[in-house]
Amino acid sequence: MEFYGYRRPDGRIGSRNHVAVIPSVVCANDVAQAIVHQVQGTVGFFHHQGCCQLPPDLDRVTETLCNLALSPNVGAVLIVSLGCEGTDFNYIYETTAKAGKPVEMIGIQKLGGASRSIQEGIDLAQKLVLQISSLQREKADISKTVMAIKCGASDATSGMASNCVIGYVADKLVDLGATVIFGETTEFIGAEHILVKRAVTPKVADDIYRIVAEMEGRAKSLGCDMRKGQPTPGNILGGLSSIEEKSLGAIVKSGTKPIQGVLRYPERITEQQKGLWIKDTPGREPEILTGMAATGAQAMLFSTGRGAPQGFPSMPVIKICGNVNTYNHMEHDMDLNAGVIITCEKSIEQVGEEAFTKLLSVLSGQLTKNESIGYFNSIDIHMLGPVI
Amino acid sequence: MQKLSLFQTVYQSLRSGKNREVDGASVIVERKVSMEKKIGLKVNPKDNVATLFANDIEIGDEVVIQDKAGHTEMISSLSMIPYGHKIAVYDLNIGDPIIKYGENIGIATAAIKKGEHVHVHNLDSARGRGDL
Repeated sequence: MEFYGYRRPDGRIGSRNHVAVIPSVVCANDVAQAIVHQVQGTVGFFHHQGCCQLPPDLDRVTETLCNLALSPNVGAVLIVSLGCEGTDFNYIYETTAKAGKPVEMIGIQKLGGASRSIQEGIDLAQKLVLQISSLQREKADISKTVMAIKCGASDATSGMASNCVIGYVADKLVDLGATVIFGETTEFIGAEHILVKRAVTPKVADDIYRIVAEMEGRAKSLGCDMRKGQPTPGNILGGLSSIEEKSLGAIVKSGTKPIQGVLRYPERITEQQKGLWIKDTPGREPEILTGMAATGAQAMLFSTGRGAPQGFPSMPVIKICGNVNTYNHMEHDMDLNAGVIITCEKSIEQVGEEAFTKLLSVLSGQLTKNESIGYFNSIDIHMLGPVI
Repeated sequence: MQKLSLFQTVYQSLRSGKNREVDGASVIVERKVSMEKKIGLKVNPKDNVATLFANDIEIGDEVVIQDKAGHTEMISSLSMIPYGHKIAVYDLNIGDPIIKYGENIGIATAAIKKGEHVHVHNLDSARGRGDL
C-alpha cells in the first residue's frame, strides 16, 4: 500500500513541500510574518518562546524548532533571528544544513532593522521556493508514514465514535509497519493503569506513570481543582464530568497495539521506531500540534465532538467529528462524519476505512478543510518553567 | 477469557447495532425507532451510568438503556438531561464510585436515584486536586 510524497535527503517522505520561515524567538515574529505574507509557498512557525527563560526551556525551544526544520513536510528553511535571544539559532542552522536541506538565516540586529531584514528575507525565501517547488512526488510505502493522533473540543461522542475510528486506523497503520504517535499526557490521568498494560517493557510502563505524575503534579502545584481547566467548560457542557472520564474516552483513539515507548516533547522519531508511541505533551492544541510536527509526523488525525477547526502550518490535520449535530453545523471545518456511528448508519470499520482512504489521499496532496481555508496557525512550544 | 481493551469494549458495544443489521433490515428500523425513543448506551456491564444520545430529555421521559449485548431496559428520567450526558442506571449512595467504560470516573457527592442526571453537580473528580 502506497502514497505519493516528497523524498527528502535523509530518506523520509513529506506530504507537503513548504519553505518554513522559522523565527528563533518571539521577537522576530513580525519580520517573519511579513516574509510569509509576501512569498507564496512559505509557512511561518509563529511561536511565543525563545528568550528570558531557564536553560532547560531554552534547550526545549531550540530542539523543537530544529526538529520542525528537519520535519519531512518542510523542503527548505529560512531562520529569522533577532540576534540577542536565548535559543541556539546557529545550531538550528547547522543541523538543518547537515541534513542536506536548503537553509538560510537572517539576523534583524545584524542587518540593520526590520525593513532591511524583511527585504533580505523575502529575497532569500523566494530563492528557496524557486529551488524546491519543482520537486515531484514519488511513490512511497505506507510504512514510511508517521501519523499523529489527537482529540480536541471533545464531548461524550468522542470516546464512543470518532476516537474509535482513529483507534481503527492506528491499529491498521501499525499492522502495515507504520508509526503512530499519541500524546495528551493530561488525558491519561485516571486511565494510566489501562495504558501501562500495553507497555512493551516495565521501563515503558514506568515512563508512562512518571509523565502522568509530572503532569498532574504541575496541575496540582497551583493548589486548586483542575476541573474547568481539564476537562474544559466545553467538555463539561458536552457531558464529560471529570478528567478520569475524559481520559478513558481519549485513550480509545490509541487502538489496541503495544506501546513501544515514551518520547520527550521536542523529540524527533527515528526511522527505526515503528509501531505505536507516546509523546509527552499537554492537551492544548498549539502545543501538541507543534510537538507532533516536531516528531516528524506528516499528518494528524484529529477527533472532535464540539468542533475544533484549527490546524498546523506544515502538518495537515484531518478532522473526524463524532457528533452528528456538530458535523452538520460545522461541515466546512470537519473532514469526516463519524457521528453516523452513534446513529447506527455506519459501523466503526466503515468510517475507519473512509478515514484511512482520506489519510492516504491527504498524504498524497489533497488539502484538508483547515488547510484549504487557511486555518492553520495553531502553534506554540510547551514550556515547563517560568518566563523570567 | 482475555480482558478486552477499552477500545474493544466500546467497539463491541457499538457493534451490537451493526450485528443486528446483518440479521435483517427490519432490525435497522427497530434500532432507528429506538433512537427516537431516546437511547442510552451502557458501554460495560459494570457501568452504573449510561450515556444518552438523544436531544433534550425531559423529566418523565422513558429512556431505552442498551448494553453491548443488545439487552435493553426502560428507565424513566428524573431529570432534564442534555445530549451526551449521563443517567444513573442504579440507585447510588454518597461516596459510591461512578463507573463508565467499566472504570472509575469519580465519586458520588450526593445520593443519586436511578434515572437522575449524573454530572459535575453530583460527581466529584479524584484527580488533579491541588485543593485537597
